Amino acid sequence: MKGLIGKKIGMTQVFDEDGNLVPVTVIDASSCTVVGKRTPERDEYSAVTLGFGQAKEKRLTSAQKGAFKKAGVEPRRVLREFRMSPDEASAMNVGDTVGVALFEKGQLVDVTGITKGRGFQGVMKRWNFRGFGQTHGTHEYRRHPGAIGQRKTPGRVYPNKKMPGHYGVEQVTTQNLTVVDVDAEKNLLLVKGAVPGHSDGIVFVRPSVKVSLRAQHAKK
Amino acid sequence: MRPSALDYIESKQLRKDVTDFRTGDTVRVHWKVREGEKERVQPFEGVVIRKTKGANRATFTVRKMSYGVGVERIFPLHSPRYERIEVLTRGDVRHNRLFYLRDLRGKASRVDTQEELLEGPAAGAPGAAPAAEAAGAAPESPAPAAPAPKGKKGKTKTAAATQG
Repeated sequence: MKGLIGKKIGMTQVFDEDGNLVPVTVIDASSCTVVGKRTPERDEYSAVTLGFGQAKEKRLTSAQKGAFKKAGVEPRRVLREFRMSPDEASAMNVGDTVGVALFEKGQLVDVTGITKGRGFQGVMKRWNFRGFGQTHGTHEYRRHPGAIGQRKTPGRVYPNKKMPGHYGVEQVTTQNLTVVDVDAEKNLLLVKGAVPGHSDGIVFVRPSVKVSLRAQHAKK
Repeated sequence: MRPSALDYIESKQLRKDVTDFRTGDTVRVHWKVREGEKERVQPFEGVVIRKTKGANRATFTVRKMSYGVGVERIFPLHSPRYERIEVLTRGDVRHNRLFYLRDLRGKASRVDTQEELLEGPAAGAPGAAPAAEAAGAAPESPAPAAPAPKGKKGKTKTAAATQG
């Protein structure tokens, strides 16, 4: 499945055809290029490696330097493989730029990013627990998790119990966001709604998984 | 710093024919309403009590009295959904946001008008023609030819909102 690496620029609002004001996230996909390929013959799977952003020469390991030199492309800061069928992959060559023209207006996309770090958070923020009443005699227990287990049996807290802890800085995919506009000239993608991560964060945009699955089911 | 790409996206959305008006002005917004297939224009007339800034996100709030009930509507300044904005009177107000009008009723809720502004800078603006017409139609408005001397504001009381 095709996709691209972009940078989240920020959010704003635009008018759609009907004159409705739509909240959008602007994603900049300039400098997204093909830096490598995985072929079934050599790697036993098919994928395209995309690169994004300029990398400083001195920040690269010699192995990376060699890989970029061999591919004959500019060093890129962010690399990511996009699994795709051999047919799709054969259409792309190393060195090609991947622009926002990949997507069209109205299409649904999935956007993956690293969420904003929120530090150590309680269960209400981290897991959307309800907490307790703010009044009616609640004593020092307003934002507590409540009971976390049973008694002697099992006598322990189950693994993966939702508890306070570090929240944020995790990879999150927001599915089925509508592409509101595609500006091929400036390589900007306008996606309806919010996208994980902070402004200037790296995001991966792919066509909606659910839409393609639905299409597959329809075929069968 | 604000990324230039956002400014670029927003600048593409700006309407070129934005009428020049301020808070305190009485305006008529010709809002386009779609009913099924048909589209018709529904005017909304009242005092501008707030203008917010922000490129294509700029809005203005119009307040009017409708059958004794205050009605406020917020319009996006760059919305493609309105046909035009007519400036009926220029208000002479001391505040940028006229929320105090909400607490006033009847005669007290009127806004002073500034005649020289209506015939002065507005004359060059595209909305000037209908605005001048409306002023002439108003019963209290003075002769349009005489420009008011500086310091002597041609103040007349006109109803701020259409009385229901």
